[in-house]
Amino acid sequence: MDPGPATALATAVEGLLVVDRAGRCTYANPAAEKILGRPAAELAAAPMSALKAYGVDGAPMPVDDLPTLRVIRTGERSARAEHRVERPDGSTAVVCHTATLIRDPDGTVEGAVASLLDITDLQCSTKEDSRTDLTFRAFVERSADGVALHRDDKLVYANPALRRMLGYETLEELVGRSIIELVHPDDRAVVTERIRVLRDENREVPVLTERLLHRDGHVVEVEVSSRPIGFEGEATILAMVVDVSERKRMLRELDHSVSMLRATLESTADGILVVDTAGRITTYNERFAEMWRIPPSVMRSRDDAHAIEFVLDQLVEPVEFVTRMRALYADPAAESFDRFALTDGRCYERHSLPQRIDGKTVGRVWSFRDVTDRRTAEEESARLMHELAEKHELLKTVVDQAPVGIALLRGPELVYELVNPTFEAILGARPRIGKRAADVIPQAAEVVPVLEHVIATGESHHSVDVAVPSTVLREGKMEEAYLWKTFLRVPGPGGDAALLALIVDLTEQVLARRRIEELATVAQRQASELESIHSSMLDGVVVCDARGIITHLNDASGRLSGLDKGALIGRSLEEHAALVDRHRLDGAPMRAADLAIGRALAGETVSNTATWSIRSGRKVYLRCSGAPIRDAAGRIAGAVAVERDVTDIVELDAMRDQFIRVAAHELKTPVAIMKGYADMILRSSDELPASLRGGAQAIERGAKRIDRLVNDLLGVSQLLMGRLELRRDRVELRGLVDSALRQVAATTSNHCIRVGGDAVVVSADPIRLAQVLDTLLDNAIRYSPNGGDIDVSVTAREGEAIVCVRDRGVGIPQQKQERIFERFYRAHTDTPFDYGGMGVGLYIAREVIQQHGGRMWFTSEEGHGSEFCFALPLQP
Amino acid sequence: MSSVLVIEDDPDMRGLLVLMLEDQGHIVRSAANGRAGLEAIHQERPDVILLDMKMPVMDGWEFARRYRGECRDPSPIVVMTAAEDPRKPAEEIGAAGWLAKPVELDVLFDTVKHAAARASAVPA
Repeated sequence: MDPGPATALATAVEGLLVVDRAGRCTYANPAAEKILGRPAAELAAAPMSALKAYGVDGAPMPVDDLPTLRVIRTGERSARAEHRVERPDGSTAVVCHTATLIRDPDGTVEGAVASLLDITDLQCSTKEDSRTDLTFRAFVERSADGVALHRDDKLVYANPALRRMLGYETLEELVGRSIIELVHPDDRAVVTERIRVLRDENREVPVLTERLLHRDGHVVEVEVSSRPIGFEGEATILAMVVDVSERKRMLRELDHSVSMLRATLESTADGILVVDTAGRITTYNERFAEMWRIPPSVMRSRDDAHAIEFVLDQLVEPVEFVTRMRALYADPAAESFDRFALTDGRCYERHSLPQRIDGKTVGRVWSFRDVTDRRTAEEESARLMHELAEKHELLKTVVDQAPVGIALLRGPELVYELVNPTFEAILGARPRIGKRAADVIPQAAEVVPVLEHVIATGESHHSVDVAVPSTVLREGKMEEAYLWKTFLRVPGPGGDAALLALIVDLTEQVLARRRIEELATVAQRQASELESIHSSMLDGVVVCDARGIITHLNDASGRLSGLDKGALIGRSLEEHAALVDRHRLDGAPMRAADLAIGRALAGETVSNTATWSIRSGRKVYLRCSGAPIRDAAGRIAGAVAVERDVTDIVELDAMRDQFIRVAAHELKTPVAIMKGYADMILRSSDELPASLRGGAQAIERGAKRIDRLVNDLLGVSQLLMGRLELRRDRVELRGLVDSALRQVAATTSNHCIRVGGDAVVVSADPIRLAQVLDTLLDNAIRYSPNGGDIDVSVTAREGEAIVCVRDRGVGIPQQKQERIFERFYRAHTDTPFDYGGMGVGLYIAREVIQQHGGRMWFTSEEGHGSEFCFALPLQP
Repeated sequence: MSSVLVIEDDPDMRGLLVLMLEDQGHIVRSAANGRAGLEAIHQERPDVILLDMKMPVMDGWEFARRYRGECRDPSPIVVMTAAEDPRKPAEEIGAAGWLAKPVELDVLFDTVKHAAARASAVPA
């Protein structure tokens, strides 16, 4: 409270008391002390009900009728009474006792303010003045309170105190004025009504608080008590006017302070609870209710015992909490601080202080603070401390087990303080701890100055033996070692500078590196040799690693692809495939997995696959081979492919093919003419002379042979060029065999050809199949020159149609059998059984059967004949 | 017996075919190329045409195209070819049959007979 109101309170004529809800005096100003004849401390110690009060007439007065206690009890806004009060010294005072109720913002009664005005003199004088105006006037003139007399509403008298109150110098200025004019316009109706009551009903009216107008216009708040009196023989009203402006202002100030206090209470993060000595909650803030989740209804009940139930339910250790609480309530002056845990994991701190008013303990203030976060932080730091300790252990382990030699020497004497096992392993184990470096190190003359320099200057020293090894003393023997050394100045344990020596033995590595360097030189030389071989190769060489990344290409490979060698190195196989744009002979583009190098990387050894690509607008043919590169463990570490440009050869082949086809076509017509006329001659007459008939037959055989040669040439050419086209018709094999037999039967007279089997249907090219049968039958006849049986069988078995041709001829020598299907291989060359031919018949026959999805095989025994068979899938 | 027109540029081959077919009782005319063949057809419609494919002046393909263009009811054509696959030109011109050179006489006679039978079986 600022000094203004405090001073005003201290100097006021009115006695002012602040009384709490329990009727205890919590404040008394000096005027009140004087009126009641007791010091403030004494007033505060006793309840108001201890006052000895009597009526004005001297009859005992029940304390409940005291206005202050009445407003607290009944909740009336204000009350007033005049009564007598006895002082401790036995004297009495008549007081005008006005009480105003104090409520807190939620309407709860907090207490009351009592205003005591000593009217002892006035009471005494009034009686006497009824006898003499003069005495009355003298008293009234001295009164500190305003006194007015008015008839109807016209003032007949105003004492000096009232005149001062309203700013008038003389009585004349006021006498005769309307009393209503002096009242604030808002209060005039009330005053008019009071005057009417006083005049018409002739009785005392309750104290009225009203506003008067000062001469200069400002408002003066007053309490007026009026009563009708007889004066100068006329009905007059006596009004006692007490200026309460100051008191009202102070009450407002008090209100303001209380609300400030309350706002502060509510805005604090702590939960606050104030409990009086009777166990009633006098004050709390919302934060308290919120922290403990206590319903507002419970808080409003003001019952601490009820509220505590909510608190206890949430505590981990309620018993301890209650014990402490009881101890504190039992010792009102005690202060306490503790911390406890809630079941939901939160943690609160509790402060408890006695609530004192003017040195007297009237209750206890509890404040609670949520320190969950703080506790978490504390736990975290405890954990960190623990970790730090563990790290220290770890550090010790690290130092002991580090593969680096570590030594700590305390300067400037360079005394060994710490040496780890690795240090001893590198430099030899001997007693060092507590000894000076100069006494331990073998080449002290060289090393110690270096160490001293580090200690003195703080400049670190790093050195690595590369060319010249250091000498170390291990188990009494001088040995050479290549060392990496670092000396650092570090703060020592006692604050002295210390030297940290870190040593790594690089001997193994240095020696190993030398070996590697030697090997690298050899490898480099070999690589450059290989490189020059690769560069000068005409064939392209491509190498990739295990991931399929192209790692090497020679110049020829770049040339073959028409690409810059650099553009291909480092590419993946997929990118490589896209760049080189290779195609299979049938035109299908080749993906990475189709390329020779891709297949090789998958583990396949590839030889001579044919591809083409377009380079500078020209079709270029390549033959590619590839093989996986395996490491020592047999794993695929990469792949290599070799490519050869065979465009010239392929073009030559194409030319040859073209030539063969033209030549064959041109041969066919003359052969047809020869064969036709020979046939005609043989048919024309049965009486042909034997020599002529033999000649015509020879011409026909020759023509037939040329025709077969021409067909073989065409067949081989088609196969080589990949042009063999098959048609698929429904072919009945038995019929086809019969038809082929008719053709060949005419060419022999000493063979007995037999056919066995039923009709079997396959899907095949009838012309090509007829050629196959013709080849097999022709061979059977040709290689059984002494005649004999030839058996042909047509069977269906396990989804296959099988045709076999068996002769009883010369057979095929064992050692030649495996090459029998080779192109241009003639088993009987330069033997008595060389009957000519190109050596392609069986090759073509087997290719045709295989392209039908079938297979061909044979069995043969020299001197006993052969059996050739083929199988085709049955037509479903 | 049928009337057969042989269109073949090689005179020996042509002579042989005429001789053989006449020997079988056919009425045979011949032409040395496609153009001569068309002229022969204008004079008289044959029952069967025996057509070589590779010929000077007008080859078999051109002959077939023109003949079919001119005639709403063409006579059946039997292709006679030295091609690697005789079925190919036969299909290309829509021939009634084919013969691969060198021709087996029995096959020649059978093929002509079949083609003629087919011609007479189809109402004009």
